[in-house]
Amino acid sequence: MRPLAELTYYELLDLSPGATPFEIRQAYKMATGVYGEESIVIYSFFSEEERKEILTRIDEAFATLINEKARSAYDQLLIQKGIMKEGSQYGSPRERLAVGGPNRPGAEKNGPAENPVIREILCQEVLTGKDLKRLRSELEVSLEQIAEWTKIRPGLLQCIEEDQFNQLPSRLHLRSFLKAYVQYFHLNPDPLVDRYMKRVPD
Amino acid sequence: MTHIWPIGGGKGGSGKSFLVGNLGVWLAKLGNKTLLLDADFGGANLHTMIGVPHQEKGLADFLSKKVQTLDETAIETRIPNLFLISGADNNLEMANMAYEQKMKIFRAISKLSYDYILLDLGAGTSFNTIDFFLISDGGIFVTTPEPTSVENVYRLIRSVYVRKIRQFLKAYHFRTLLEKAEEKGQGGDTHKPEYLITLTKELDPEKGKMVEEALRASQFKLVLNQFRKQDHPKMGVLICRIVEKHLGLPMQFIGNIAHDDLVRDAVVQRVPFIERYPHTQTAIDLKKFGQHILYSRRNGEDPPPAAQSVEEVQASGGEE
Repeated sequence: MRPLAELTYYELLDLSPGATPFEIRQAYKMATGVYGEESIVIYSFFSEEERKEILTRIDEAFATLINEKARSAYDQLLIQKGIMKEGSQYGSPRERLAVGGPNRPGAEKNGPAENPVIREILCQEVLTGKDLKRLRSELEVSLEQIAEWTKIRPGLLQCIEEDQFNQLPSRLHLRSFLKAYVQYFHLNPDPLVDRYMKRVPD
Repeated sequence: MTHIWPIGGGKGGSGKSFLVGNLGVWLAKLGNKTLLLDADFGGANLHTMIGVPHQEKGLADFLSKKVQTLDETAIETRIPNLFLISGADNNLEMANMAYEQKMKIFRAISKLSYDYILLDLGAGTSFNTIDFFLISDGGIFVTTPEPTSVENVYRLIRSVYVRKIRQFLKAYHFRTLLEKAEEKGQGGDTHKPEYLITLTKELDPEKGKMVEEALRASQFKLVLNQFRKQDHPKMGVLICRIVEKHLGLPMQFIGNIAHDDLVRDAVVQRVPFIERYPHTQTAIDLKKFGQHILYSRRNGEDPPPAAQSVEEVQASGGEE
């Protein structure tokens, strides 16, 4: 038996050291269900005290892992202790190679929502192309990076940012392009897409 | 080589005899010489499940020395290759069998020559049940998706665990361990296996490590029986995960066996379900269960087709 304190945050949430923020959110959601009050899965297994202790630790784990800075400090700690291998952490060169995907920036910042400029943009009722561009530059992402990841050509992305509606494809296609664009930042796409689409003429 | 699979679950009515009976029929029909041993002393009814209403002999005859070998108590069923050692005529004392008698049965079982021996264990967590469960290094736990059943299966798993620690530490050390646990006393935790292991590691790190490794070498499996559509589809995987994570016991999930009202019909008619209703989801699940057992090679050389992993569960959202 491993006492609770001995389980790493990754083990606690059943995650690999290279887990993406998306996977961390999924795992957190699942863990809070499994250890929740109504859960049959752990029925009678823990005392109420133990269960609450585990939930507290799960919250702790989530708060640490979802925050890039806190996570990398925690990873360093695990590496020092010899529990985790150097290079297996999320965003490390080797890990990036192994996954083969881009290391998207939204996660690298301390969560986009913590940046005041971004937060302000996210609170707007209507989004303009300019807002998207500000969002992008705030996250220090080039248009090419998005183009490469979304497979949308840069010229079209530029039209989106410049509100050149006559250059844009049908509403349906535009929506899916916008969605991909916003997803690159790890943001919930649908509300943002809706706010942009409000201004697009039929 | 004889594969011995004890099947237990803690709670009565979770379907142990049903699973043993149907699994046995399936294995036998594939040409495996299979023995079903009813080790539910005091509540035996495996014979009814496979439609053998009259038994001229049974386990009791072996213990009372009416016959010399355990094999002689095995009766043929109407299914070729399928044999039964019935517990129907067990007398009242057998439920509280003496240690010597139990050892006698264990020795006799190890001498039997079958392809598969399935042990149908009784409910509860008596030493008899637990010791039969530990007869091989792999055992199958059965639960249904209800809190009562889950509670009992956890109780059985913990009891098996404690018994394994005890087996390993020998009586004297185990007693010392329990005394120490009482001394340090943490309320109701003193007899929890996870606490005992932590304590063993504290008292004697080397021994603690050895026990831990021995436990890790065990191959327990879990089946979720009477699974209904509205139940959480990942429940079994999650239960195994809890046992692994918090007890350090490897536990492999075999799969869900669908609930079907027709099971009752088959039992009432006293025919094996898998024969009577071969095309139901439940029968398909039973066959998958059988396949898992068939391909489970004990020495780890040929890992059985893995049940769904935790990663897959997470990938599929797991929010049901």
